[in-house]
Amino acid sequence: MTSGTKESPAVQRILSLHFDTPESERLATYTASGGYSACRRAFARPPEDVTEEVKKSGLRGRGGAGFPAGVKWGFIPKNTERPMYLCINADESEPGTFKDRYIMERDPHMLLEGILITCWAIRSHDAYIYIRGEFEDARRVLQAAIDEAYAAGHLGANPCGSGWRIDVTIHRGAGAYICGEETGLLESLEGKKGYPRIKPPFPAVVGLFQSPTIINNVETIACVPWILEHGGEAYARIGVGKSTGTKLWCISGHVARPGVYETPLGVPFRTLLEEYAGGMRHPDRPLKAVIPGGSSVPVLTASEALGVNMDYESLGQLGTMLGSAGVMVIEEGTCMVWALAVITRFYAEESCGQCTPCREGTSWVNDIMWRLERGGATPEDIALVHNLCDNMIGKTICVLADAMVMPAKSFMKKFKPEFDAHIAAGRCPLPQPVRD
Amino acid sequence: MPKIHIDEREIEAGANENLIATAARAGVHIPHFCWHPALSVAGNCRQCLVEIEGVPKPQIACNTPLKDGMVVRTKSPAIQEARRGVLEFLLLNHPIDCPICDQAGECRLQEYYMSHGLYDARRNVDKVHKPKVVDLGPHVLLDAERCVLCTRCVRFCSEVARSDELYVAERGSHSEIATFPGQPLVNAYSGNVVDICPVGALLSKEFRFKSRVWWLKKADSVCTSCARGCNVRIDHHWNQVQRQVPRYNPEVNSYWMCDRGRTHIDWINEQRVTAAQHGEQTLVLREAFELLAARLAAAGSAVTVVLSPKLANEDLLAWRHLFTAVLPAAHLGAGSLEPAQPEDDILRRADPHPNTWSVQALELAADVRALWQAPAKLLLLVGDDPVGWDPALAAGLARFDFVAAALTNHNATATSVLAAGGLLLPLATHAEYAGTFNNYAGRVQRFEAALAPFGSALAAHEMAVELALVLRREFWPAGKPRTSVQQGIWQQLAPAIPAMPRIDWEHVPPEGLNPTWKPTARPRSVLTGEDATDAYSWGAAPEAARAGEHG
Repeated sequence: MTSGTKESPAVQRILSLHFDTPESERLATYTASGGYSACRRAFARPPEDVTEEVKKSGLRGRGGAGFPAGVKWGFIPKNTERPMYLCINADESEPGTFKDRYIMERDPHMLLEGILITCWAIRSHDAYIYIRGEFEDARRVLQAAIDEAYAAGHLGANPCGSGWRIDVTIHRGAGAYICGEETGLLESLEGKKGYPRIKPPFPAVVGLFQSPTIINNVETIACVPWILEHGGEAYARIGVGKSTGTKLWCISGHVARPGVYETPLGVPFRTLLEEYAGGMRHPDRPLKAVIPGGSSVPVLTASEALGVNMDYESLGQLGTMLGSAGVMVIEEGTCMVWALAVITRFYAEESCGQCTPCREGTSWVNDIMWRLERGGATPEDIALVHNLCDNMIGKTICVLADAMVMPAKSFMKKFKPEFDAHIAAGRCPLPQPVRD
Repeated sequence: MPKIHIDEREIEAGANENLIATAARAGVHIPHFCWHPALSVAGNCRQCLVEIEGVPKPQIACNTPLKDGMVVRTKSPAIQEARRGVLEFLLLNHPIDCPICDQAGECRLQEYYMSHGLYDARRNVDKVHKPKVVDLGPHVLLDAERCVLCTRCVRFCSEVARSDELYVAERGSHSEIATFPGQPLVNAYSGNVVDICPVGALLSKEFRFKSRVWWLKKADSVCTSCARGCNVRIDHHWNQVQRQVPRYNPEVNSYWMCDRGRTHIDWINEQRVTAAQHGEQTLVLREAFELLAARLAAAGSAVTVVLSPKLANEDLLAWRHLFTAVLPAAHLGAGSLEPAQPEDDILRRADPHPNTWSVQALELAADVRALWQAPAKLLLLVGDDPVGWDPALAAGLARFDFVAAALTNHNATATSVLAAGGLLLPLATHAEYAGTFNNYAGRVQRFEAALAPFGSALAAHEMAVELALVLRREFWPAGKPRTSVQQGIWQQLAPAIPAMPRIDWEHVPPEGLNPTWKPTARPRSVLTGEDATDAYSWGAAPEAARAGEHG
């Protein structure tokens, strides 16, 4: 996969600007292009001002939920005696998502500068980067960048002459999807089993080590230096409506050029597919469906996808979500029952097992889904899965159950004839189903 | 305090009270598995979902902050369906083996299936199988297939016993409760996990397959294994104690008791002295008392009486009265040679006796070995097993003209007494009569009769009254009481002793009476010498949550 290189007047790149620069991960490269100047601007202003600037930018959390980052920082309680913590969620494990890895491998100092600014804004001295265990390359590059930054005095006791100590520590996960859920991440970071926490209390009040904690996605924090450099209003002018700024799209599946591409929010899906990803991989197999935001969001049919603009609101209107921007493109000839069964298997395996409906429900639905795919299911099974989904969604501590229910219900509704055909045939009715 | 509406009923929430506890006070039971009033909130079972006006999703009652004017519905169709759905998930991989499960009859899965389930099984795929009959430790077995993973046991071990033996291994539908390799469940309070397990997953090795719970008759009692005096319930059947479980008392033991107290019940059921015996001859009780009376008359005041700190207040008061006022004996004292037990800051006390406080208040405390040596013609032992604790004492029995012992069990002392040609009288245990103990802090706690006396066993205070009768001496200073013997003892004998509390024996509340009186001298523990003031107090548990919170 390659990062996007397509240039056009409409294209504005913030995050991926230096992805293709040689030695882009080095401090010298970063400072040569003006790096570590935004944080100096930030340190010169009161922390509340920095938060206000990010609020003005309209920057929304890029981890999946899309919550405004500046507003989140504002939840940090004033007048507390406890330390504040910043946690960077680099446990990028939503299927179809691989943007944070690019940032960490190709522009780690952009992330570190974002961390400096955020730590100042929320008055934190300690930031933890919780990185997915499988990301060994990213960890190595990121650690080298941290070492360089310490050596140059950008991190440590006196970053950029601010006198505000900031230490950054990488913590590796051990391969559990649930540790990407922010409170599961906190538990794991504390050395416990990655069980999401019940809320309230929310992490901004009681988070890591019982202290106020802000947890942000890698991409979110990587946007922060640009916002401080150019101003929140400049950022807010990019994109559409409340979907401000640019977005890294992780395009995978049956396209000619899968990869990470950056565009302003609101780009039509058709543009992403045809101009960036090079269209479908086989000209004779047209688009069948798109999962627009990682495996846990409702699927779009081809006609829905080809008419939609990629921003939070437009996707919301179609009943789906922008999520983590893991855009999975599915071509004609793909067995949708099989595709859904692959998804349900993921969630059944990754359920932490804490809440009853998710622990039992994901594995029950998964068992039924594979029986549908392999044969032996009955017409009642479809209604049963719908009912089980209703009994799971919105009834658990975290949204892992919802993350399986949303694709399951949308697949079964939008591609119902395929599910019926499986039941009627007692097996997959496609002569040569696409399975790669 | 916020006022909330639960199912059209208005109620004021208590301090630090959650919705489940508040609803319980309003008479509304919100079904739940994982929440326990004395443990942290886990919020994982999802059975306590309720509808809150203005909130789109159903909320868990255990962790929802209470706000003034909040309107809560626990019986709406959506909530009924949500509960049914959660229950179906809980029972999905459950073996449904109620006919062979010890928990049957006090199982929340059974109860909630009847109240919220009643659906036909829709399971159409294979069940997940998990380990069964897992030996977790000396007292507890696990059937992982019956487990609902509420983690009450995990939280108990970490928060109350502070030993962290249990955890949840694996994840998703393969999750199971487990111990770490080579680190079994050995904390001194492990049996409590069986009590708080809402289903049949954690089983007591001692109670397993002993009795169906619906046969059990229950009596409030007090544990006699140490000076803490944990409030317990004796569950009995066939006139045998089947199990002893803790009874909630926020001032004494919260919801808990230690394993030693819990399992120390065989002595009530087995090896009991059920008839009077003189040498090899079995006597009718009346003959035995006449024999003892004759010997007492012959010995005059050259009598040594050794009482036990395991005897109840009524027993100590009666024997003390008998041998000080009615028939003064040269030597009268109470003590034991039983060694101290391990102590901790949770419940366990070093003093292994339930009534040391009263022994000291009655000024009876004495050294057993010294009493043994004291010049006397007749030795009378009531309770305990001095020879068992110190076999060397057996030789000393020959020194007396006559030896008599009222004992509960055929122990070493009983054997020695009979071998010395002495008299053995059948003594009832605390499970066979009602009385009171004063725990280490002086708290008066009443226990009720659970069993019928074994054979012709008599409670110690009944023996004292009976003996006076046979001796043709008036026992009662103010005439035979028209109330119970115990009440008579408190009314007629206790007031003479300034250190003893003034209580209405008939109306000692189930949670006991706090010592509001001031004893003349603050009692000190015989074993540790420490000030026996209750320094350890439990946090106030929600009052309303008490009902039915066991099991």
